Amino acid sequence: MHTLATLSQDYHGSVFSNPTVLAAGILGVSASSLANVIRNGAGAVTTKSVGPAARAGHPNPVVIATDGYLLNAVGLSNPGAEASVEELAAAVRGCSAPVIASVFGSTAQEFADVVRVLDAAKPAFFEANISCPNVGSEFGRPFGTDSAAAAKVVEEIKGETATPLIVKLSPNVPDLVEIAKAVCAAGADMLCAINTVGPGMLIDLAARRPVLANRSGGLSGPAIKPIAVRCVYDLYRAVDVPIIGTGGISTGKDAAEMIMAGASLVGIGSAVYYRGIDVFAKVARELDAFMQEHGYAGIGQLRGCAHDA
Amino acid sequence: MTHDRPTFEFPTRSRTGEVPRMLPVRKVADEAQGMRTLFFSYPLDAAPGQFVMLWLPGVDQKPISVSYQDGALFGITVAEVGPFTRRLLQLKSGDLVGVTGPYGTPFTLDRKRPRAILVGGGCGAAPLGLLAERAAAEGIAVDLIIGAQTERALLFRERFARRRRITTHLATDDGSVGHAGFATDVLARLLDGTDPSDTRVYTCGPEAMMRTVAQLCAARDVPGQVLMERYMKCGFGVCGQCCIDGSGKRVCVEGPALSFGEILAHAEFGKYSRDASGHPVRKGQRGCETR
Repeated sequence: MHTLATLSQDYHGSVFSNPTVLAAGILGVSASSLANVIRNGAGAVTTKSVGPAARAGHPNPVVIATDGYLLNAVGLSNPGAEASVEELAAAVRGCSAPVIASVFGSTAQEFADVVRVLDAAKPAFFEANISCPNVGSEFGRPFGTDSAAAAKVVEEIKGETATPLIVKLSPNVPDLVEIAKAVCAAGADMLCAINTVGPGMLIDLAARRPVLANRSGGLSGPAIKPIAVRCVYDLYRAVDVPIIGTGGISTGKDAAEMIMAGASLVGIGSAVYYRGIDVFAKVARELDAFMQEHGYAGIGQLRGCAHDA
Repeated sequence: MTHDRPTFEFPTRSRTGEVPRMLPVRKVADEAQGMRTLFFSYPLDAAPGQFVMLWLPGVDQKPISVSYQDGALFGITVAEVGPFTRRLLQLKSGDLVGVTGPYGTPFTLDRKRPRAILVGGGCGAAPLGLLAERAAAEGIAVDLIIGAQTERALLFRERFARRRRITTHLATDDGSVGHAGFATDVLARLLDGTDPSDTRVYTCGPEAMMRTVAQLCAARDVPGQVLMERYMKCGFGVCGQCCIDGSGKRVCVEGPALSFGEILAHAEFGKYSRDASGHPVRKGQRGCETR
């Protein structure tokens, strides 16, 4: 895809040719898949979350999709940090756009251990997944919902690496802004908001049981866009770091709305289902058309403009 | 105030979404040693090579190719390869199975080529059954080569015995019936007497066999497709579990049918695939499994 001049931005030494970022957990298993997503227009890509040890994840079904939403509980499947270094290095080598390495752990120290191992692959950013809703209290929960615990994760990771750090926030908390302020004070370089909502559940009437093997799963897709936009709007007022606005973005106008709320970049995941793998190129092209039509010269003029009213 | 309605079309999806519909097993038919076909009363509209995701509540959900389909019924043919297929083979008439799909890029029939050679190994021959029927109905002369370790394990030995335009060739490792040796030996013999511009070849089965088929055909400029199998989580293109190294294509969307030229360009073809954790595992070795 040709670079659209009005859409290009730089953050922490990385060039994002357009604001679309592949969200963690979608198409991020292998280097070849990440490179394919970039060929389909993504401005940056995020790996599937990597933890300290190999996990097969939950049995199927792990994803359900409907017109309005996806429900997923994959269960943090990943080969473990040591076995992922080579794949991540191949992704960094093979991708012409920034590669964000998503990481998780069950303790702050585990987050730091994973980062130490993966740092050898030189990703452009790490993203701390402190907010996966699908593994009960096993991972993510205590960090994503407690500002002191979340800040501790950031401190441990920052003590381990100079690679810039994104923190992915859960919307399923009483006070998102409090957690955001805590992780920024601890040194987070960017925020990604939001992870999936809920968790939710779908019960099949004939089978008389929840469809997902994990019973419940995180809600994503068009249904959660208003929540994501509100969260980003609140975060933009409270913190100074760039925000990757994620949640329900499927079109260029969705992206424009998220950027008006305060996002610098926009995460895209579930829309791969709704619009195909080239959704990244489509959203970038539609956003460019919207900006041209309304006379915006760059993302900077659009960012946060909903706060001026 | 008016709001923009969604301006996009669903490119690959039905509007009903990817939620299983519970269907009762209509009947069960023994096919060959350890292999059975489950039939469902449902007007599935799958093209040959496409698959459905089958959900056994409380067990698992897996992609399985469609082997029979007539507008009112469809069937899937399975052998026991693990706990999921073991449970599938225990199902009786009336038991409920959750079905989503059909999914994936199917085999492509080429009406300009009057001949099709289909090469199936073991239970991998299952989707070739539906393909043989469709190709013959299009007026294409079909040679169906079925290979197995021994006579009793041969799938669809009698299915096309009285069908016009379908000739079945058998190959067994132990020589108990048909050619003593590989299905690919029979293919090589048939290709030697064939005009490459008349023929298209299709294969499904063990990856080593499919690799030999693809190489034999590529060397003779005979086009065709393999039907790939990879560990799948979602089945509809979002999880990334089944992406193949090289192009990064999704076996569940851009596959499972991939052209010989395309698949031979992938280093992992016949060598390794990813387990449930996403780690590459060499063919024949066990990887990380759920539960």
